[in-house]
Amino acid sequence: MAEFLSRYLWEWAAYVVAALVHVILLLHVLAAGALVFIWLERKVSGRIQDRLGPTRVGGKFGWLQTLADAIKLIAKEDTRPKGADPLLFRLAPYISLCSALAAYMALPFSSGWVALGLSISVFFIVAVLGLEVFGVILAGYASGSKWSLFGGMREAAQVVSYEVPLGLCVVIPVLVCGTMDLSAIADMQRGPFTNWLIFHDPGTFIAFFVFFTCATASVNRSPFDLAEAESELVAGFHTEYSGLRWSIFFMAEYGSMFTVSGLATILFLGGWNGPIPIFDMIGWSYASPADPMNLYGWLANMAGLLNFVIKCVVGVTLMMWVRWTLPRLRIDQVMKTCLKYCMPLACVAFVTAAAWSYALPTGLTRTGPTFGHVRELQPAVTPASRTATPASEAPRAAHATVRANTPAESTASPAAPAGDRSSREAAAGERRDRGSN
Amino acid sequence: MNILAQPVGVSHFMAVGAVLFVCGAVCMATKRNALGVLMGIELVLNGANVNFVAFGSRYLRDLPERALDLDGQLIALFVIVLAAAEAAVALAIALNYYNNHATIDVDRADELKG
Amino acid sequence: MEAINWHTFFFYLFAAATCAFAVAVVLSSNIVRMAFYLVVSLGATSGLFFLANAPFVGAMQLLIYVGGTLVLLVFGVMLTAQGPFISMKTRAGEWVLAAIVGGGLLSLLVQAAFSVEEWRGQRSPFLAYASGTTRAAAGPEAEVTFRATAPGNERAGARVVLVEAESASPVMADFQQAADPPTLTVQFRPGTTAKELAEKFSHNQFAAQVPDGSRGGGKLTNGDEARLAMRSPRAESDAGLLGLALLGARPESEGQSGKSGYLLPFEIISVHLLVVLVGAAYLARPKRRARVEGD
Repeated sequence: MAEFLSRYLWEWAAYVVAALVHVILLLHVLAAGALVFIWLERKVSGRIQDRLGPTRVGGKFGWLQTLADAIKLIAKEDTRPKGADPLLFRLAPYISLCSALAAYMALPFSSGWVALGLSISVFFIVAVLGLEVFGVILAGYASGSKWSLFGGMREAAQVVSYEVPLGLCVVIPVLVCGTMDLSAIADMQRGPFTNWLIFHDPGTFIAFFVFFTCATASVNRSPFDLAEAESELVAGFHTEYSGLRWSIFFMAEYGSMFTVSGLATILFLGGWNGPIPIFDMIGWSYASPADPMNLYGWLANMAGLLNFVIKCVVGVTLMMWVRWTLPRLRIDQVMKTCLKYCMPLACVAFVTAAAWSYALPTGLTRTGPTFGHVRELQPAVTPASRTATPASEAPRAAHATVRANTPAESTASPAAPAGDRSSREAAAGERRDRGSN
Repeated sequence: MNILAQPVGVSHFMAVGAVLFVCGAVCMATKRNALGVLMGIELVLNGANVNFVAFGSRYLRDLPERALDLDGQLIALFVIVLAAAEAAVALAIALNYYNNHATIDVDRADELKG
Repeated sequence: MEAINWHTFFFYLFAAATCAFAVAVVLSSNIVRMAFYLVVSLGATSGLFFLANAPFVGAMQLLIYVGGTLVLLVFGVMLTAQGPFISMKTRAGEWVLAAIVGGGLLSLLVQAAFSVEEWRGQRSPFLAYASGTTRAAAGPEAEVTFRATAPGNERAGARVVLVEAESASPVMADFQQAADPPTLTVQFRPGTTAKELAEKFSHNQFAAQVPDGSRGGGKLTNGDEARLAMRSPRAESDAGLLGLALLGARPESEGQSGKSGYLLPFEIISVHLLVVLVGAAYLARPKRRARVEGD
């Protein structure tokens, strides 16, 4: 895209515009996601409590309830308590939101459709999600209120503890696949649903459930939402917040719910590969980076995107279901769950998966080539052809340019189609937003 | 000369590392809060880490074959892990000190003074 | 307007954030603000690691340092930040002394950092590095004299790794110190096609180029402009290699001396972590709470 734009603009302006388009797309995923998920949460909670949930705003199912809420929240007064630390109080929600948004940078939505192709994207996402806690802690402190402080402290203790089993569970698929690139991990699970890593061996099967539990805890969802326990702490860390700043915390929460669901999807549930490889059967395989203009490949990628989003939404719905059916744990029970159940289970799963992939690398049910072969057949998407934000683009783009300069490759330069690809990615993202609305 | 058109090198990273190091050292020297001293230590360690990673990178120097490559990154990883361990122990000591003396001012930790 | 080197741009962005917030840590007297500035500073440092082609270290910095260690630190800050301990002022005399010593140390370190020519970065790493004109020479060889032409490259002593067209073996060649502009002479057979040339050079970090408008129709003939372009070095930051190195194997540096595995340090550090775990748990165990001393 930047190459395309640089024909009309200065080069730097072209890069800035291309980067902004990527950022705005990702922001839309976050915002539209929150819009849908909040509505879904109301509906799910309503149904579970034998109510109807929102019914009026925007037609039959109350589609626009969230929008109405948003308008209400914007109109509310933005209050700040007298004892609050003004700078940190204002900044805290944005820290949460930024870290939730940053995780989208490395999250691939379909084969090769990722804003920033990192070779260690798994760890990047886990790391960035861990930063969200800072927003909560700072909000807790800066509010200058006892309730908030307690909420923040609980959140800090909880997140730091749960990051350990979460990290262990994330390592298991990495171990089985031998790569930390989310795109490569998902590509290895191609084929029928028996190839998904959750069915690889008993270790990964346990790991999925531990991962989901820990992920629920690390995004601060019930039954682990001790930081905002209404029954004890008024509203926990966001007691003193109102209006837009308050809603930003919830945008961040729903954003990271989607991210951890996406992570679970890619690591264990086959990513964007459907349960039955229909597109592979009729010969429409994912667009390869070498030939991104292939229409069938693009359609397959779109179907992959749909698969991925459906799986993520199912994951998020599951979290809501858990929230409205299970009572909140006490803080000591939360810690006990982490240290006495999740940690040992994750360790056992880790050892099982390691032994299993040593003895039987194909896993229980895998059809088709083994993981090692897949790696040879489908090398991870080459860095030069990925669309990336300028931060990482700089060396790569330059690399591509040099290669384009050499006569041998001047015709098949990967740099030129990359631009078109990112604009199609943009279109795909928009379609996704419309679809989920 | 447009500074943004010039490539950055190890030197630039080292300058950042130097700023971090000096800030950390000054922080250690001037802060009276034990946790402030701890933050200074973190800054110093990070200054060292920036240098290690910069020396390991092939992008940043004229002769890429002379880069430290993975050695730089590995030492940086060890530093990160050691810093985590150090912070855990130092924090435990600081909290203990706070519990026992009801203050966090390092200048008042003078019970061993002869 | 010169093209912006985005790597440089983002370096300065992250470097500015790192330095500014590090200075803010020193200057702030509120311990909670200090913790916040430290978080931003170290987060920006991880951005620097990504820019230095060490994404794994960068992610680890975010995960362990910012997400673990600093959360712990903030936790400690919140446990102790009460009343007089939130904001502890330092005496002015100490500030003056610290500023003098710190300023001296900083100027020394920065001067040392910029004193080594080789460390100042690749001179226009991704642009045409040198260009030259083939000249008729005795015998079947054509002599290409390369002159450094890329901006910022006009300095003697720049070293180029070349692949000799004949033998395809890497040859180190120095730009001659004395010549002005620095020149380098390398020999090719006339009739070498541009593709051949590119392939020969592609083994190394340079790509050669013969422009389309060359008189030989893509073949190198006497009088042609030939250019050498430096390729970006291969990204060798695979986390798998890091893992192998921790287990004691260094497959990426076969045959290089002085590059050994890190199995022993790895084991030592794991034992160390265990000791720390036990030690911290021992120190933090519940004890009698001391009575509050009067001031």
